[in-house]
Amino acid sequence: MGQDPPPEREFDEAEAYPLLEQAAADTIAALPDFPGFESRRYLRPEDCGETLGSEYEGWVAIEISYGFSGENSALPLVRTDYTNLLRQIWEEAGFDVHRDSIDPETGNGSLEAERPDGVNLWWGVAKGVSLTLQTGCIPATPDFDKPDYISPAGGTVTTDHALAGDLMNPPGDSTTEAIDPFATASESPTAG
Amino acid sequence: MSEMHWKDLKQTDFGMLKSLADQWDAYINDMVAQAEILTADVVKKHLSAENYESETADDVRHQADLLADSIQDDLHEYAMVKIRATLEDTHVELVECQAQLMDLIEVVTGEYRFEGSSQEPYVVVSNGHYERIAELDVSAALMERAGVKESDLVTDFGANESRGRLIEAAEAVAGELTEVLKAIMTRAHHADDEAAAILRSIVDTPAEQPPPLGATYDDLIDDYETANAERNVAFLQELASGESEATATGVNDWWDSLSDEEQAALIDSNPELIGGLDGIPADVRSPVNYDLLTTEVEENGARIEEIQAQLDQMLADGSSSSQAEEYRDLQMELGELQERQANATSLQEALDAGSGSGEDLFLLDFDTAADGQAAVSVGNPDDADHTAVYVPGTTSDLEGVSGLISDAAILQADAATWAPDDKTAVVMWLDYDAPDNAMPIKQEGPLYPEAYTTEQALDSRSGLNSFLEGMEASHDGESHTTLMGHSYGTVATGATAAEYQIAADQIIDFASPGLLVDTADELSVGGDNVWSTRADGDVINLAVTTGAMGADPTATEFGGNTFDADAIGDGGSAIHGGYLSANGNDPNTARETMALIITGQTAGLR
Amino acid sequence: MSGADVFTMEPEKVHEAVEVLFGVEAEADRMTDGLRTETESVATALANAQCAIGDALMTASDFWCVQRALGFTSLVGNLGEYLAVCAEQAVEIDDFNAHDFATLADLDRYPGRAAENASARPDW
Repeated sequence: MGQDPPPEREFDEAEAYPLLEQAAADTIAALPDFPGFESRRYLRPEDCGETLGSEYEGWVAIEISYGFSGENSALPLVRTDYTNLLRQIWEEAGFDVHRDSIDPETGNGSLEAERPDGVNLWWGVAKGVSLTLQTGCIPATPDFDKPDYISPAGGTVTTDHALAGDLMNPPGDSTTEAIDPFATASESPTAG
Repeated sequence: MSEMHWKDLKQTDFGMLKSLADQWDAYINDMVAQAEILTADVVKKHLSAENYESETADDVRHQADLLADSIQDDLHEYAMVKIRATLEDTHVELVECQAQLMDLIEVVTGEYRFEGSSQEPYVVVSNGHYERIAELDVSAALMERAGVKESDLVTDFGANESRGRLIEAAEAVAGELTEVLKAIMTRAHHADDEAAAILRSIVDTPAEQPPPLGATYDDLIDDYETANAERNVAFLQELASGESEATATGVNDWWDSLSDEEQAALIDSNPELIGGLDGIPADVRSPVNYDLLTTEVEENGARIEEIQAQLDQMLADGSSSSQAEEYRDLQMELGELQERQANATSLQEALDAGSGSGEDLFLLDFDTAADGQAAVSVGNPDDADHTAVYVPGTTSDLEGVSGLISDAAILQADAATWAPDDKTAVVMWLDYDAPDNAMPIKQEGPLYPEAYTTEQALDSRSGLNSFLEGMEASHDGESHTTLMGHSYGTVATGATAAEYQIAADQIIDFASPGLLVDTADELSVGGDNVWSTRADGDVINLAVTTGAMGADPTATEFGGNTFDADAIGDGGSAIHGGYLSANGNDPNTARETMALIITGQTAGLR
Repeated sequence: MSGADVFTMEPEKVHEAVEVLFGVEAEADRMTDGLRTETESVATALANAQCAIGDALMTASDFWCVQRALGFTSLVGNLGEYLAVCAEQAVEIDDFNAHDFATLADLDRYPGRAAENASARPDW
C-alpha cells in the first residue's frame, strides 16, 4: 500500500488524442484487406486522483476504442488472422505483451500490449472484435475542454459515437491548426 | 400470511395460475366486445338521432356510453390489473421457486432430508447417510470438505477421528442447505403474500358505477360524472401509494390501456406520481423526471432567495432576536433546501453533460432529500437486448453522481463493443441510502461505520426488487438482465436476491464484502449465474474476513463463478475503486469479463 | 321537468336496441358466471395448498363477479327496460321505476322478464 508518485509520462491530455488516433491508424495499417470499423467511441477522461489516489491529483486517463461490426467480427480474417498478426507485430516491436488470453479453439479473448510510452493497446475478440487504446494516467492539460476532430482510423466509421457524444469538437470547428502528433510538448499548439 | 410448506411448493401444479390468467384475458376481451356493442350498435345505430330523439334521448345515449366506458375502466383496473396481471406474475415466480426446490431436492436425495414447518424448514443429515459415514462409505467431496484423506482411515484411531470430522462436515453442509431451503421458501412466501395483498386490495376503494335510470338519477349523475372524471388520477394515486396495489406488469398493462390523451392528462396533472412508478415505460418516466428536476431546481432557487432575504431583513431589524424561533426555523428550512438544491443541481449537471458515449441518458427516478438518490440509465432499457442494473456502494450520493454515471457509461460502452449487434443499457441504480462511511480503517470513519451494519442493505430490498420488476414489465419482449453491485452495493443486491425472486438472470459482484448469504445457491438466480471477483489488496478484504456481510463470494465453498480482476491503483482504497480504471499495463480483465457476462457470452468463462 | 315529451321515434329501432341490451346483459352474465366457477375452483385448490393467494383470489373473484360485473349487467338491463317502456309511452327518466316495465312495456316481446326480475320490482 505505497504512495508512489505516478511515473513520468511523455505526453499530456491534449496530446493524447492525436497520439492515440495515430496509434490506431498505425495498428490497422498493418492489417491486410481491412474492412473498416463500424464504431468509434471515446470515454470521458477519467480523474485519476479520484479513482487511484491523491498522488494522482491533476492526472487523467484517456481511452478511445474502435469496434468492428458483428458481421466483420465473425470473419476468420478479422478474428484470427489479424489477431495472430498483431501478436507477432507487437512482440517484434518490443512492446510488453502483458496479456494474451486468446483461446486457441474459439479465438475469443484479448491481446494487450503496452508501448514504451505507456500507451496500452487492447485487442479484444468476442461477438465483437475491437481495438482499444488507453493512455493510463497522464498529466491533465489546464483549461483543456475537448480535442479537435480527428478523422477516424481507416477513414470512416459507420457510427462515430465520440462525435455524437460531443466528446470532440465537430469537424471544421477547429480554432487551431491541424495537430502534428509527432510534435514535442513545447511545439504543441494546445499546450498551456 | 402464506402457510405454504415445501411439500405444497413441490406438489402443486402452478400451471393453473397461468391457465386462469389466460381465461381472464379471454374474458376481458369478450367483455370489452360486449361494451363496444353498446356504443357501436345501441348508441350509434338503433338509438341514433334519426331513430330516437327527445329531451331524454341524449341522456339515454349518454347513459349507454357511460355504461360502456365504466365497464371498460372496471375491466382494466380490476380484471386486468388486480387479477390477471397478478395471476401471471405469481405463476412465473412460483414456478421458478418450484424449480429451485426441485433442484435442491435432487442435490439432497439420499444424503439429507427436509424437516420443519412452513415457516421454519430445515435440512438434516439422513439416517442412511449417518450409517454410511459410520461405515466410512462417503463421497470424495465430503472427504475433501472434512479434510479427511484415505491415509487417515488406516488406523482405528484415525478412522474414528475421521468419522467425527465427516459428521461435522455433513452437518455443516446440512446447515448450508437449510439456508438455501429457507431462502427458497421465503421467496415463495413473498410471491404468495404479495399476490394475496394485491388481490385483497381490490375491495379497498372501488370506483363508483353509474346510477340506474330512475328517481335518484338526476341527483346522482352529476356526482358520478365528477368522480369519474378523476378516475384515472384516483387509480394512479393508488398505484403510486407504495401499498400492494398492483404488480409492475399490472401498472404497465394499465398504462398501455389508456389513450394518448388520457396518458397526457395524467402526465400533466400528476407527474410526481408517474416519474418513479415501476412499470411505466422509460421513455415516459424520463422526460417527466427531467421536468420535475428542472422545476425543483427553479423552485428551490426561488425559495432559497426568499428565505435569505427574510433572514437578512430579520437580522437588520433585530427580529432575529425577538423572534428567535421563527428565525431558527427559517435557518433550518434554508439548510435543508440548500442541501436539496446541491443534490438537484449536481444531478442536473451530470445529466446535461450526458453519457459521454453518444448514448441517451434516461432519468428513471430521483429524490434530492438527504444524500440524494437517483436511477439513471445509459441507453433505453425497454428495447435493449441486454440490461445491467448497477448498484454502487459506500459514499455514493448525488454529489458524486456524475462519476457513477461515468461508470455505467463505461460498462455500457464495453458491452456495446463486445456485442455490436445487440443493444445494451446499463442503469446506475442509487435509489437507496448508501452508507456514508467506508470500511473502518483507523484514519477514517467513526467507530461503527454504517457500512458495517446490514440495515441499509435490508432497507433497499423491496425498492430494488420493485425496480427490477418494473424494468421487466416495461420491456418489449423477453429481457436479459444482469444485477451488478460494487462494494456495499453487493450487500444490497445479495440481500434482495435472497429475499425475492428477482427479475434478473444473473448477478455480478465486484469488490464485495459479502452478499449476506453463505452460498450462491441462496440467491434466486441460482449459483451457476452468480459471478464474483475481488482484486488482491482490495481494502474490502478486511470486511470479508470478518464475515459480517456473509461468506466470501470468491471462495470455492460459496459455489458461484469467479473471475479475475487486476489490482489497479496504489493502495487498498484505490484498488477498491479501480476496477473499471485503465492504467498502463494493468490488464483490463475485469471490464472484459463483465462485458461478456452482461451480453450473455459466458460460454468460455466457466 | 316538463311533462311527457313530443319525440320522434322509430319504435322498431328502439325495440332492437332493447333486444341488444338484454342480449348484452345475458351474455355478460353467462360469461361472468363461467369465469367465476373456474376461478373458485383454482382458488380452492390454492387454499388447499396453504397459499394465501387462495382466499384472496376468492375475495377478488366475488368482488368482480358479484359486485362489479353484476352491477354492470343490472345497469344494462335497467337501460333496456327504460327504453322498452319509452317505446310504448314517453316516461321521464326520474319518473321511471321497475314497476313501469311490468305494466307498460310490450311484455310479449320480452317473455318472462317481468316475472324474472320481480324481486327488483318491490312496487309491482
